[in-house]
Amino acid sequence: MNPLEFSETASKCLSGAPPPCSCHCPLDVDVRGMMEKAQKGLFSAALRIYKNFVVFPGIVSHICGEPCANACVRNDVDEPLSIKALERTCIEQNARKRAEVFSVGEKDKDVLIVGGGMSALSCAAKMAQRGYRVRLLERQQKLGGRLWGCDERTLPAEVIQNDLMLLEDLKLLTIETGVTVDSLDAYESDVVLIATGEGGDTFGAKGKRGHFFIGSLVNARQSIIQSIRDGIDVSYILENYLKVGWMESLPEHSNEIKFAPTTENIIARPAVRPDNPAAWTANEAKAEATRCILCDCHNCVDVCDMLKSYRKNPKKTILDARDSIYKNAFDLYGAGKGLRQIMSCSQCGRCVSVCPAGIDMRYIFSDSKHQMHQRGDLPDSLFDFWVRDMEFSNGDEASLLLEADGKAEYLYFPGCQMGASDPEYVKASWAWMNQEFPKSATLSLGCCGAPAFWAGDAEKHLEAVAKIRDTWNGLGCPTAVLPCPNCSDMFRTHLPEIETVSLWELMADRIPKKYSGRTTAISVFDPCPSKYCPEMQRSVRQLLSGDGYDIRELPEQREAARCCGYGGLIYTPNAELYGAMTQANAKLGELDFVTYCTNCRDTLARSNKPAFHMLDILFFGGHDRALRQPPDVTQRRRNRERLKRELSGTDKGAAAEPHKAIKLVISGQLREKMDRELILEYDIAKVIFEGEKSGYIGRDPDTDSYFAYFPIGGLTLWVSYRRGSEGQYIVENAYAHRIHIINEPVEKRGLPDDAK
Amino acid sequence: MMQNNWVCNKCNAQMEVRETSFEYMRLSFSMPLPRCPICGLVYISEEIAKEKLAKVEIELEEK
Repeated sequence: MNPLEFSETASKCLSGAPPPCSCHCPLDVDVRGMMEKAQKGLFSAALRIYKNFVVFPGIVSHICGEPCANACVRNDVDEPLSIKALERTCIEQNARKRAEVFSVGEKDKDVLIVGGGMSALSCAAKMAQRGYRVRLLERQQKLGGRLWGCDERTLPAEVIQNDLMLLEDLKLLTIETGVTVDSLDAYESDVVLIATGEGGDTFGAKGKRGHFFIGSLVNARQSIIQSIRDGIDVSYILENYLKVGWMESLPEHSNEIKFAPTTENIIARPAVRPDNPAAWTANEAKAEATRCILCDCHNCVDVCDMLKSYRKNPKKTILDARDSIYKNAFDLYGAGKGLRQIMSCSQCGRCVSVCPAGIDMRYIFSDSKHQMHQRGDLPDSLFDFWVRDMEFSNGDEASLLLEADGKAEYLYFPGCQMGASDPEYVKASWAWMNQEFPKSATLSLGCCGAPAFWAGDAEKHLEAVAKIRDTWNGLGCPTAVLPCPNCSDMFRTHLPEIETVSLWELMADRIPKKYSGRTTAISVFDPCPSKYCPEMQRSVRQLLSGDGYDIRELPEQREAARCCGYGGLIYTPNAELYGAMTQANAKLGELDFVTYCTNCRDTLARSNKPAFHMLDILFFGGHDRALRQPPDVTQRRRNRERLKRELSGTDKGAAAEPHKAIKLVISGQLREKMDRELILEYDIAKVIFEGEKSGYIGRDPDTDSYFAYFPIGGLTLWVSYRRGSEGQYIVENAYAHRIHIINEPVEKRGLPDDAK
Repeated sequence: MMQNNWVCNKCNAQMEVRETSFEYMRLSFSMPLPRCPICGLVYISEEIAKEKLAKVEIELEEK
């Protein structure tokens, strides 16, 4: 997306769009803004907002037909909000207070208005408020024109007088009544507004530059409210004329409702019945105002832990992402603040389905990450661990292709993390594939490329995708069998030419129902990308009910599936959010969970939520496997190495690197820390090996401790250790940082020879 | 790691506090840290890495 596309997308966002009541108001009153103030009892602030929109609050609150009430979403729940009564209460609560007048700087422009009806007065008030000198001439002795013809019961004379008195506060407005204007030549001004009423004089000024006509003179028999609206509108036209010389006509207004919230979550609350309907008390008004749900679109924020945590308007989120990408191009100082949020999107996609404007926030974050990576502005080292993990899965140590004896009909692709979590998962499901499709199933161990995609690294991502495509082509284009919803999403998006089927769909068709008599209740935790594979969600439920499970659905499931915390690799850039998400997931339901993504299972189990993988249930009898603690980061690699060895029957792994032969002694406590901080035992061995080999290590003669450091991927890893007996190293501590040390001997060893 | 009395094992020299240069996100800065006066071997404690350097990392990333 280019900067313009970001801005256009932000402008489509309906956050802050007028609520239905305002859309139906002929004066566009910001009812939401007023109610926000009234809910806090701030009636003078609410009145200021009201006055800004209607100019004459007393008059309008008496004569308006309250079309807002018909548009109020509470109509579908209980009763509409008493907006008109609340507007009047705002006036009454401030009746004895002198209105504050904010004067803006006087501008050196004169406005002449002929006529004293409501359109002329509204325009005069608005222009004077904006600093223009206004001279208004009225033929009659009284201002207000048709107002005085209203029924006294609808509009008492006192209300008219009170509102007209408001004009006296405007110092730049001069009103002269009883003045008959025969010709405009006698008056000097920069712009003229003629509002002489139905059948009034036009002074031969039609078509003349700088002369505007309005009110009943132009539209006979229009409502008083419409006259006020025209007066406000024409004030902007006059101002534009004075600024740039444009002669514009009145704009057209639409009462189209762009956003109305769904009513299903609105709690019914009866309308307040005031003791005296003609004079609400402040408390009654405040209570009624709290019935207003302040209609606004924050659908994406409501469903997203990340957006909620940032407490920002979604529009601002989009614009912040834009500014973070283009901060250097446009020299936007401090614009990088949007970066952390970009890196905190888990890519679960919930926001996309709830946006009434069709904005794809998931894509915005993903595209931003890719663009920033390309510009060298993304801290790649934050994602380094997973990109290296992907390369490991696709490298000689762990990747494997076990070809079918006959023509491959199916390519079983269990993904990288299933074998990492438990090699038995892959072995059992592969055995099932072989049993169901003898001689026609091929196994491919590797990674779909999701980590590189989430890291914004298009090059490495496409490399992983190309590897899969080449394998698939080489096998004669078999159907890919995918148990992992993340792989499914990646195949769907980046390998659309490959026909896929989920393992669960195949199994649902082939595994007979057992009717075991079991009635265990369980909840399905749908992995977030499964929302793009509804068939996968259905098949899993079919398999579970076939196995006698009583499925109790979680409040957020299927198309509303939540991210377990793994998606988007948010753990390193935003550990706090990751923690909050995993905690919230664990509390989603009381029963044990079952899921069909290994990352989901392991993430849930790590936060002590009993969670089965579907394969635990289908092949391992369930039992206590829900409590199985996932292996640490090092063991996850060893499991994949072991899987390859066992399935291939030979040690086809990469030639063992010398540092892997080093024997390390690591305490349980340090192992836990390494797991939290994503430090591999292999990497510690590498640091010690390189240090000992080159001699570039530090030593404390008092404690006999050593330290060594070495670049590992984009990080510098530090290890403190002691030399043990029989070539062992007792590791005392390990930690890493992303900043590079320059001009020193050790870092140079991590560089290619010609760069040293 | 605690405040140890570090010696460069290669040069057998006591490490001394000297200005050390860093680079990150295309920006560079320096701070005084224990170094070997002969070969330049640096020592960064966990405290410095996780407090000072981590703070600078975030500042430079979000600049």
